[in-house]
Amino acid sequence: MIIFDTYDVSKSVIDEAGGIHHKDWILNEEKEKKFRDVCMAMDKLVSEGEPIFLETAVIEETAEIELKICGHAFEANEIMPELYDVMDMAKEMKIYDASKDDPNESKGNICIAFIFEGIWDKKE
Amino acid sequence: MSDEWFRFEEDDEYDQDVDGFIPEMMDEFVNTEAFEKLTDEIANKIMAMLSGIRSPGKEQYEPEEWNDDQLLPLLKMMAWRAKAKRKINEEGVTQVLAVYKVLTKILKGEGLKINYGFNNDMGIPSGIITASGDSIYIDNPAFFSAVLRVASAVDFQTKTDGSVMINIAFNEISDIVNSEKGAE
Repeated sequence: MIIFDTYDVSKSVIDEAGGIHHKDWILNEEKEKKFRDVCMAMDKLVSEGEPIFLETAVIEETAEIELKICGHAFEANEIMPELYDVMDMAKEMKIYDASKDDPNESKGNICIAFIFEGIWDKKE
Repeated sequence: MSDEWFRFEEDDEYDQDVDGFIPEMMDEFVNTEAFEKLTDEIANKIMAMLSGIRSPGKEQYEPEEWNDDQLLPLLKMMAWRAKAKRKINEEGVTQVLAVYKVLTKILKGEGLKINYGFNNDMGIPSGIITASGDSIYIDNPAFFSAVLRVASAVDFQTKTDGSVMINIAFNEISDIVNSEKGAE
């Protein structure tokens, strides 16, 4: 089993986005706590599912956070509780071949991207 | 309801191409009181299954009418059942149909195709739903999670052409009973 810390992995990307938009975005501690819960659920999913990698991105227009996992295939029956926990917290979800993101990537790896509420409030 | 109006060719395998005789029976079948009751029950079960479950900011699911193409796998299933003179767990069949119907509502994507069917591999009936496309988008993952929880197995795969596929399997219709009364 892989021990994974999604929050730690995501922190630099989130901090960078928060820094860039510090004039417009205010950290919401309640939302941040929810995102830590998301990360804990994702830790379990990644640990059980053995994906190739996890990637974090901040969607600047909406201040939402995307967590994407990619792997050869996901046998969901092996990771059902973990997968469903993550899905229950997600706002949107997309499933696609990894080559859609990177044309140099060979076909055959699957990516599941989850969109979650961000940790900021936008200033009025 | 009598199943006797189902007619068969020589081969009684369920998965054979029976489209040739289904259309003429379609109107007759879908207009029966029993079938109307079944589809009503399906709609009610969908709502019961999904009651109170939704992603933040998303609307509640509203079931739509079934169309003939969507009902074809069920018609084949009923035909197979009649021929095999077996009784099948109607609850399990309804569950497959309910999940299928919900997925037609909540899955989106380029080139998306969603199909359902019933297999009889090695004499073990089971339900299967497949969704495939260049990409599959779900704007209500909590709904999706709720319907997947009904399934016995789920996997996400890519295909050689770069498209993706979700397979959702159901064992819930496996309590088939050999029955002399199955065709009654």
